Amino acid sequence: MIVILGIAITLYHKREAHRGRVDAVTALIHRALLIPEFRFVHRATTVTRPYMPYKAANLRRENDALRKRVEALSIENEMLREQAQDAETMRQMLKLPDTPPSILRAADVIALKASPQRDNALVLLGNGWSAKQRDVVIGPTGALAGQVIGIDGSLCDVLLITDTQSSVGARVVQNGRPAAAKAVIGICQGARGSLLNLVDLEVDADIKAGDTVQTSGIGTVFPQGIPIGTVIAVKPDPSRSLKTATVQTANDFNSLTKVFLRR
Amino acid sequence: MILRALAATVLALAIGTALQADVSARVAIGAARPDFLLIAVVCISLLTNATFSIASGLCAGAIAAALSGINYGTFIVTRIAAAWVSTGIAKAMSRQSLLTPLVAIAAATLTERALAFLMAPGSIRASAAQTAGELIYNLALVVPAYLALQPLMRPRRIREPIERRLRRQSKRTRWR
Repeated sequence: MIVILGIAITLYHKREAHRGRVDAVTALIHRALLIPEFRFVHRATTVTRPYMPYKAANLRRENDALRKRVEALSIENEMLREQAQDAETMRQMLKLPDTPPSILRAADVIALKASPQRDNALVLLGNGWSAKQRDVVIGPTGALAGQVIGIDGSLCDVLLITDTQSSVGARVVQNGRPAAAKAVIGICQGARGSLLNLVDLEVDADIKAGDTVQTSGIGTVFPQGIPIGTVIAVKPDPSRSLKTATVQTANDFNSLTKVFLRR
Repeated sequence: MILRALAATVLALAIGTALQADVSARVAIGAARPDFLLIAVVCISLLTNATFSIASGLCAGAIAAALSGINYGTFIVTRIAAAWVSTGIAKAMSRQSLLTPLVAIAAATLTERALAFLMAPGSIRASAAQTAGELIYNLALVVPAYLALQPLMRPRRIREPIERRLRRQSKRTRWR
């Protein structure tokens, strides 16, 4: 009977997935188990942290460092505000069209790479915020983390760029030498680890270890200029007509706790 | 007794889910990472009866699928099969021996990975490396989990049937 129930759940899930909806079993597990569990652990950690003796010393040090950082950032903010005013004045003088600023929404990671078959993360958005399919997900370092592929209320399923199913159009930025006359463009593919494969590079592409890799903006999902990582090795493709590079991701995908969704 | 086993099963699955969601990726070494839900299923299978075992396999499969978002059928089938294998081992071996959870988790991990590979084939080398890593992690974690759950579930001390005991004794004398 249990096996029949399992088959029924599978078929029901398939039907709902085909219609682009989240099935009731998954929604129940998300809402009755995952979200309450995350909130409980989060609250327990927050409450107990100050009472941990080794954490208290760390907190004091962290507080001092943060105070200094706040002062530095306040000065930087002031300068940026002035520059933004100058830019706005120039925009009005040149009659340039307004570009809407992209909105970043913070989200907590409640499950990270929980399955051996897929590199994904379940992220929980704050109250009143929503997401939509293909929203870009940015890590805490400001580098690309992935894209939203499923939504269940405020819970989003994010396909990380390290998954083998993930492909991102990428552009190489030459570090410490003049930019190449011809843009170096390839595709970043996940390899189930902290390394990505940058494939489909032309054989004469100007790329070296230490170069920065960003999104190319080719395609409809990822906008141009989001950092992805750094080139650590370049090797010829087995076909010898192309080159492949290995890219170290800027985010640590084994310890993501917060991400930002960008529309 | 049934209520106690049910509460312990729910608790084991809830803790397994929390660890799988939050800790599994953080302790990963390369592709090797523990499967806390499978460990919970094996412990439940060893400490309860077949119905609880298969039901916990179904729940663990559904939870794993909800965490990953894909391959619902694969997760449910592999977890139920792993629970069934563990139940078989629990029947064949003594539940008091600490060797039993080790044998059960090894069999369950290999069954689960083999079925998952058959249902969604990929690179044999990568899958073998992942299986080996997962097996080592699971073997290291199953005994503490089993010892922690044992007092909660309080299994009945099942006396071996007299025929089986006599058969074992006669085997021993034959070896001597």
